[in-house]
Amino acid sequence: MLAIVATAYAQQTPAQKPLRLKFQYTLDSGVVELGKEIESERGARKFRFTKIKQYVSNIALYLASRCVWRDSGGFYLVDAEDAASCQIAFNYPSNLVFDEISLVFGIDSTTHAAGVMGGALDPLNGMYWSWQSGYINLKIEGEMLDQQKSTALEYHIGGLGTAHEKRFGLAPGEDLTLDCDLNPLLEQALSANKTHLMSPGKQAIALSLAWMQSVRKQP
Amino acid sequence: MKIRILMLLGMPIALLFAFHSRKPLVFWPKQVYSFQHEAGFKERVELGHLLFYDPVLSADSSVSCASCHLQYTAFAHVDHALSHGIHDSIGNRNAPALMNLAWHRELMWDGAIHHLDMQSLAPISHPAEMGSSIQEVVGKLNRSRKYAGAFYKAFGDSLASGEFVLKSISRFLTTLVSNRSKYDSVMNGTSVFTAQQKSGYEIFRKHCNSCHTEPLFTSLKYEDNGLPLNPRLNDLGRYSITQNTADSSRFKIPTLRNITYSYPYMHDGRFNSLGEVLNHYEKGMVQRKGMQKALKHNITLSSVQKVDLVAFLLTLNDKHFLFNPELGFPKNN
Repeated sequence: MLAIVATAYAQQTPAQKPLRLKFQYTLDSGVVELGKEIESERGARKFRFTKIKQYVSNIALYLASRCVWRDSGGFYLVDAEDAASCQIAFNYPSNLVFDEISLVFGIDSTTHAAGVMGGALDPLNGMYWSWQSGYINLKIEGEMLDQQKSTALEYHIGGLGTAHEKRFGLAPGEDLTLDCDLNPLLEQALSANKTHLMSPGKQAIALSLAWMQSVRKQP
Repeated sequence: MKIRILMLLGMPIALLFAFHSRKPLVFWPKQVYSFQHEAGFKERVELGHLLFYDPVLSADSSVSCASCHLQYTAFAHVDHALSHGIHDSIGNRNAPALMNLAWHRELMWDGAIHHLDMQSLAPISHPAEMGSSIQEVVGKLNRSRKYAGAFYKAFGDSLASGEFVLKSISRFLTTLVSNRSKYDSVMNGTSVFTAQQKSGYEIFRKHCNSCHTEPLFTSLKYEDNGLPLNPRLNDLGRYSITQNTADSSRFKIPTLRNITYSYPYMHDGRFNSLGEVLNHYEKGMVQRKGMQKALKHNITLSSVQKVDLVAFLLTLNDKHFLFNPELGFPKNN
């Protein structure tokens, strides 16, 4: 009897294939490890990062620019401190054909304006502003080091206009590793003498766009 | 037979009145937040009620929400112009009266908070108010286990989370409804204004209603009412949120319900009496670009008109709300 039920279930549920999405935080080509010094190649600056977190949401697969599958998981918090959170795994129907994967880096405006939620979106995760409503989409904290002094760095990028969709070419059966290079964002912020940015607005939007330039598919 | 017919006719009318006097007036706008139908609403309100009165929410467990939002003063704070927090800290805004919040989409004097669920995060985290964090609060609640049963009843999980804490408090806040003042009974047709109150109501309708719009007695908008800038606070209100110069010196219009209980007045608590407020509109306003149309000119009232206006404002006091034990310090805390 159980065998019959199992066979019937197997016939109804299409076979699934796993897809693993890995995020790696880098500075130029060097991999960032929290709490450890790292030197940039281009600017010859030294940094030590203590916190790097970002939201990723609305993962979908596309074929010829048409959405063919959407992840039901919703929202993911990719936290450099938690290795498990830097890998997102999900299954898609094994017969699915696609050529791109789409991710939203941040929280969409509807969710942004909704009430409190649990899981990855729980304010407990420290990614929600308390003084003003809004999710922090990307949090980078640490310090810039030189021989004389250490300068604290604190970037809390969030609010409306700071969540962006980005697509990457991807074939069935392939996994995806994304390098998230901190350097373009830091270059842009530091060239404007901005060591702290913790409010929404134009500067946050500009830095969120710099962040989008730095997220690349690992060859 | 006649008596029976009269009884049959009379009962529905009596029921109609009984029903009517408890419900918000028909012309009240639709609530922005309607949580009443969600599963566990009653239990969430009960939990939120306990948390609202519990100083565990502050860093040193000395200050609760109710410390600055006392029921008897319409959930405002009459002791201080600016909020009073842990270690005798003084904040930078007057603790506003809390009522009818289910009709307010945005909260705070500058509208910084755009959902009621998120409101309590601000005072919990403000260093001059509760000086804590939602992480610290959840940690304390889970360590004490005092609330495990209440969280289980409300959410089916005995462990507190940020979501559960904030949801409980926001559900409780929606129960702070003030709609049983004399003004409400007049509007319901169960009472009448005195001649003086009626005169005051007419003055109110002419000079005040565009900002303090009935029945909430706030249009929920942000306006510049010509207050000279307080140089110590340098508070530009809504501008700090939108960065739009048109919003400079605009603050959310407060409700006038229970107004005589909820002094001091204005975002910085600069006025202690209604007389001072009326004097401001008569001769204290600083005219600035972008001010509310109704305030382009001073509002000059005779002393009799002022007395009549205050007589009307007194009809907005709702003693049922102010002294309702269901909203007071929880019995089993």
